[in-house]
Amino acid sequence: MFVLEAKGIQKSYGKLEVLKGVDLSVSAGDVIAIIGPSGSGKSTFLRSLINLEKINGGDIIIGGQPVVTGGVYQKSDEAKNAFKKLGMVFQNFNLFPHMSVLDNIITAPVSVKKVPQQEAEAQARKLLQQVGLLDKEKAYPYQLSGGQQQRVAIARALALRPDILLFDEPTSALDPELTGEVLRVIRNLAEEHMTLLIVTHEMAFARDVAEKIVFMDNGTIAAQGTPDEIFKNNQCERLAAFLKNYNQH
Amino acid sequence: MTFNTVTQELLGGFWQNCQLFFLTLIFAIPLGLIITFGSMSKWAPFSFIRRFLSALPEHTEEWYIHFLMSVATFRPIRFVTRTFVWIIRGTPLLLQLLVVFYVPGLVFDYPMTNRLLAALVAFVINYAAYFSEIYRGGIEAISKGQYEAGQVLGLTKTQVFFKIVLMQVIKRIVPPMGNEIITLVKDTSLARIIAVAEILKAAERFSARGVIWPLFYTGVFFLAFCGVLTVLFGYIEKKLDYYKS
Repeated sequence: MFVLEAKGIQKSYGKLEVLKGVDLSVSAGDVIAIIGPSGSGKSTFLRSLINLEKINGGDIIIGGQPVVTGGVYQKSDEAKNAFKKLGMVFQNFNLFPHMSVLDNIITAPVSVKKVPQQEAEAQARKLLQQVGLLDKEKAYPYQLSGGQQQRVAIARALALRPDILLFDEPTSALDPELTGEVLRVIRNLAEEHMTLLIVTHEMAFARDVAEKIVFMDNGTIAAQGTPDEIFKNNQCERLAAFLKNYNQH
Repeated sequence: MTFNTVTQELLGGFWQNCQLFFLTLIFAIPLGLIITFGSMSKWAPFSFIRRFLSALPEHTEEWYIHFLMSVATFRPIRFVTRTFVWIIRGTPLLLQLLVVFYVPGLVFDYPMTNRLLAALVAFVINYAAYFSEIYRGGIEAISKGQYEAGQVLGLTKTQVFFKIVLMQVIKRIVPPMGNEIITLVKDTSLARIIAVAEILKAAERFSARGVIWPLFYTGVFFLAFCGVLTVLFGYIEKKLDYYKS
C-alpha cells in the first residue's frame, strides 16, 4: 500500500494552469527528489499534497484515506486529520521567532497531540541531538545561522512523527557553505528509511540520496526514474536541456 | 490663592482626565481588535457569481463583466467597518464629543445626563478606530510562512492566532500604541467642550477670575503623567527585546 498517492493533480490560478495532471505514488521508505526549472510547478505540487494549496482536480490519498476525490476535499475528520501524517520543511524555515528552539519544537506536540510537557521536552532534546544542536535549546531563532535554523525546522517537523516529510527547497535560502550541514541531516533521515519527498535544486544531492527522481516541467512530470536513468541515459529532450543548463553553472 | 489650593483644585480635575484615560483604554483596546477583524474580513457572500462568469455569452459587454466581478468580490463586513473607521478618523474628535453628547437628546429625545459617560463613549469609539488600524498593520506584517508553519504542524486557526501571531503582533505594535496612548492623555482635556470638569476646565475657572498661572501649571500634570508612560513603554519594549523577528 502507498503511504501517499496523488492522481491527476490539477491546479490553476485563474487561467494559468500550474499543474496539468500530476501523478505520484510514494511507498514507505521512499526517498524521492523532485527537480525541474523554476515555475515548473514542483513547489506548488508539494504544497498541494499538504493542503497549503487547494487543487482544482485530481485525487489525493494519504495512508489509504482519500482526502481529495476528483478535486473535491473530503469533509470527514479522518480526511482532515490525514494531512497531519505529513510534515513540511520550508525554504525560509518559518521558525517562530518569539519562541526558543525548544519551544519551537514542543509547541505542536503539546498543543496538538497533547503530549505531556516533560515528555515532549525529552523527545525534543533527542531530536536536537539528532540534528546536532543540543546546545542551542535555549537560543532564539535570530541567534542561529540559516543552516542551524533549518536544522531546528527539521527537528520541529519530526517531533510530530510524520509518516512522510516534505522538503520545499530546504537549502535554497542558505549561503553555499551552510547547505552541507542541512543536506547531511536529510541524508541521515534517508538512511534511517524515513519517507522523504524533496523539491531541490541540489542536483548532486538528489543523485546521491534519492532512489527516484521526478523531473517536472511546465506543470507535468516530464521524466522520472532512478538517478542513473535521469542523469545518465535519459531520453527526454527537456530534461537534457535542463541538466545541460545546470552543468554550465 | 495659594499654591496648595490651586494644586488641589487641579488634581481634582486631573482625576477626571485619569478616569477617562484608563476607562478608554480598558474598552478601546479590545474593541479595536474586533474592528480589526471586521476590516480584515474576507467574507464575500456573492462570490458564487464568479462561477457564472465563464458561462456568459462571448459578446457580453465589458462594463457588465466588471460590474459582476465587483459584486462577486464585495466584502460587506470589511466595507462597513472600513467606512466606519474612515468616518471616525476623518472627523475631529471634538465634533464626535459633541455628537455623542447632543444627538441622543436632539434626535432621540433621550438626553445624555452623564457628561463623563458621553465623553467616554466618544473616546472609546475614536481610539478603538485608531487602535484597530495599528493592530491591522501589526497583523499584516506577520509573514504568510508563520501561518503556513502553524497549519502544517496541525495547529487550529485559533491556536495559530493566539500562540504564534498575537505574540509577534504585540511586539510590533508596542511603539505605535505607546504613541497613541500618550496622545490620549492629552486628548482627554477635549472633554471640557461638553463641560466635563477636567483639569483645563478647572484651570479656566481660575483664569476667569484673573489668575492665569494655574492654566500653565496644568502642563506639569500632563508632563508627569506622560513621563511615567514613557518609562513604562520603554520597560515593555525592553522586556520584549529577547527576540527579533
